[in-house]
Amino acid sequence: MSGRGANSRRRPMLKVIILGDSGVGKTSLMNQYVNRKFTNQYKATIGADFLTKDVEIDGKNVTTQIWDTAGQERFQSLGVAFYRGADCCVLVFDVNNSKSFDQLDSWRDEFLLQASPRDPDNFPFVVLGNKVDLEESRRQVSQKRALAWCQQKGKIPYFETSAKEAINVDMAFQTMAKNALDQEADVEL
Amino acid sequence: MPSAIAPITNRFSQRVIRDVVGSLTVGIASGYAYWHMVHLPSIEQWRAYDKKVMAETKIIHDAWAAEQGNSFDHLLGTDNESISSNVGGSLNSISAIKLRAIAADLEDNAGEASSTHENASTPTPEHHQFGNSDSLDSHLLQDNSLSRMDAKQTGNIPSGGTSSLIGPISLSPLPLSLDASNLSFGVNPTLHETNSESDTFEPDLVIQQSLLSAILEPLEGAHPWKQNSLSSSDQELFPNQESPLNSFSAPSEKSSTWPQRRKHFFILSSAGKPIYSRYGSENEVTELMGIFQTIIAIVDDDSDDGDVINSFRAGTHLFVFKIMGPLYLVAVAATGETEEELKRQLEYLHDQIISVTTQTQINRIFEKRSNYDLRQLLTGTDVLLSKTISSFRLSHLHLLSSPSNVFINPKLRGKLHKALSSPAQHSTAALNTSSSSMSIPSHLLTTLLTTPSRLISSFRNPVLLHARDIFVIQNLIAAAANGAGFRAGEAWMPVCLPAFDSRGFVNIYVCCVLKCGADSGSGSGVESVFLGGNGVLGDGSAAVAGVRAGGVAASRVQHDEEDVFLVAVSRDREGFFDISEYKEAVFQTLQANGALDELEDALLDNPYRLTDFEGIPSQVRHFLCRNKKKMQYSECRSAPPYTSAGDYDRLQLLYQTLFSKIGKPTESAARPAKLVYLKGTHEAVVYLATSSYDIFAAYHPLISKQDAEDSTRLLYKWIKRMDGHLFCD
Repeated sequence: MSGRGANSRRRPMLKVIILGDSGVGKTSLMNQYVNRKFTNQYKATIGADFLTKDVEIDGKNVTTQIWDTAGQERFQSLGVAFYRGADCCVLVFDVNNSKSFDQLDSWRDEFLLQASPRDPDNFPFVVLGNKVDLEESRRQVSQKRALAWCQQKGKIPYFETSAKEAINVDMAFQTMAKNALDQEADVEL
Repeated sequence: MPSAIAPITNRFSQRVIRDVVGSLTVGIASGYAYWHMVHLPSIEQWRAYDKKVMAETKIIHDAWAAEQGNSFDHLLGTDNESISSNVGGSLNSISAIKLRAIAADLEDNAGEASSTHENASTPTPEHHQFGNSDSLDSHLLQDNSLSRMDAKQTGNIPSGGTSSLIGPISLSPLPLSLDASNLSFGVNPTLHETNSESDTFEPDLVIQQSLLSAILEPLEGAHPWKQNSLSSSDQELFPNQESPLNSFSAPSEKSSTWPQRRKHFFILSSAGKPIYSRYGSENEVTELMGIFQTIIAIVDDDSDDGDVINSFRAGTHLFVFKIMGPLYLVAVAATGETEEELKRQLEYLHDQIISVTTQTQINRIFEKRSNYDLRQLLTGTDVLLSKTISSFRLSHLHLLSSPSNVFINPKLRGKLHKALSSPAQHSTAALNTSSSSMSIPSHLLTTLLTTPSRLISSFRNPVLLHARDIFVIQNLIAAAANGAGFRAGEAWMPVCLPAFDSRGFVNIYVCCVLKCGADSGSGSGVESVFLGGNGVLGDGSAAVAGVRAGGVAASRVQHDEEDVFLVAVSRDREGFFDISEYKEAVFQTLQANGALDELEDALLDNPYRLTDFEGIPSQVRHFLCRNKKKMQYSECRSAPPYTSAGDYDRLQLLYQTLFSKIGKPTESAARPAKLVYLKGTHEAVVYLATSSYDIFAAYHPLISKQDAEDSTRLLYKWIKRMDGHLFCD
């Protein structure tokens, strides 16, 4: 058979799902990460957006296929379709909105139920507390509280991010891709 | 007594009369006074003011109208060409038409305005004839059927047997919105179900909208207006210039043109991860894959009734979906092929994946890990898929579910078959005197003598391979033809034959017994050029240039000069040496009885020309014939006009249309049709079914139905007489 192509091993592709309440900044985070752009305007995601980005993790090239979902409840009937075969799940909340933090539990449960990963306890999640660029007085969820929740749910990595100021965004996605890759390596076919 | 009352009554009536007359007089007088002294002057005043305003408005309006009138003159040229250049570049045809209508409306206004004012240019009459292009109406008609989604029951729902199914879900004809700000094309689908549970679809409605427009956006570029520079046949002829998915890492500058292609194939996993795309880079197709996955899932997941999406149409593109377990296959074509045909093609593509992995393995992998990236397992097999896709245009194997055979005389067929079935035991002493036949290895399932595209002879011991399996084998040989291929030495490899047994591998042995083809290194064989063009295999660029220079006609003679391979299928993994020995015996026998030389000569005359034979009616331009019992087909050599790819494609479409009409009862007749006559603009085609043959023949478009039928029957007689030449046992 053909010699070319056979030796160049394909870069792995990771399917990443972004979940969280409506308006916490999922699309903005994705846009900041992929396109390095931010806009203050709010435009509700309809259904889902799909973007890809190539990253290098520990010298290994990986393509991330990011599925940005709509936070609004009316779109959530699409769950199974979106969640199936995900490699990693990013949970996003707004640090200035404690309700969006409270909802993380149900987002996580919903994901595990719908996606039914093989090893739910060790499925790679990442939690992002977004919009830390806003003034401290408006903050409703403390870092301590968020960290406590992440610890309790099985040491989920937690990042305080700002899609606007591009704080921690790359770092968060890097960690996520790394964890997903590690998970990948564990599995024997 | 009577005198006392009379005067009173009289006085009363006098009084009444006087009052009535008096009040009428005063009223009328005051009315007149008001009309003339109050009302009329005020009216005069208003009129004067109005006149002043009108004059001012007219000045502003005329200035505007003059300006607009000019720009519309520019936009609405008298011919369609200028419209396409102005509008078609950025718009789908639908919105272009919409825009045209609006422009015409506006232009009418402008026309009115300018007619009241001498200074403005009066528009030419053509401008008002908004329907002056015939194509417009047909476009509109076509677009009314936009995005019809059928979610019918298909045969391969795992649960099977569910008889009570929800009726087809349809997307009604869609209102099209024209966003004035950026003239982008949007679709507002409204889902309505024939069934009661329409409320469950409520949330998806809006998603459909974004999804559909997201799909249409990239494919919008495929609008014919935009392709003026590249003729469609050119594009299909060099289908693989762009880097296919396997060369993802290499950045491709031309990648943005991929949506302009007329025919796309996508394979994705049920998780929406890309596995294969005919065109486009990974980043570009990933989004589309996600959308496809979502569309499939919307129809599939929402209900437990086993409904799956079959196809929908958006503009000129037909989207066809095939769900094969954990793999989703999607064909997007603007070629005019039917849903049925595209589904068939998707099945053959799926067979290619199965042939390297087995169905069992695929199922197991995705059961364990739905997020598996199947490309890891399929590394290097893109060439098989690309080759399969290019064969869709060249071969009728997929349509007729039977391999094509070469034309050789029955005596030679006998020799070949005898060599395969009972090869003489060869000894170094005397080759041709030995009569003891060698024992055939018991694990040998079947032997084929074949070229990369056509079967020559087969020996079935004891299995009969399905056309799908034969295609897997032939495609493997064809795809390998460019590299070192199977020309040198013997090859032994595990292959899964999907129709024979999709659960496991058999081993196939391939050895070239007759080298007719040119050396692949020289790039002169068109077969190799075809593959070289896709950039997957080596020596591509030079070869592409060769084909470009050679022009379209070269593509049609690709059957010539093909190598002949002996393929043996064995169920024993360790059986290589037995088979090799068997092949050697066959080879010696063939050499001894001179069959190989005869075969080489015979292949030079293949495919046969219509003019070579007395019995073929002269009106026949082209024909295809399938032997129903032997399940093989034969095709004559293409003569002009079918030597050009475009004409041949059109003929193929007509054959497909004929084929879709046969074999099943029609509305008018309960029994399947035996004779179908179809008249196109460039040719008339006839299908004739007899007890043992299916015959497709093409004629001049003006031939009468009777003549076409008569000459097809004559052709049938010829085919019957030449059966031994055309088909092997």
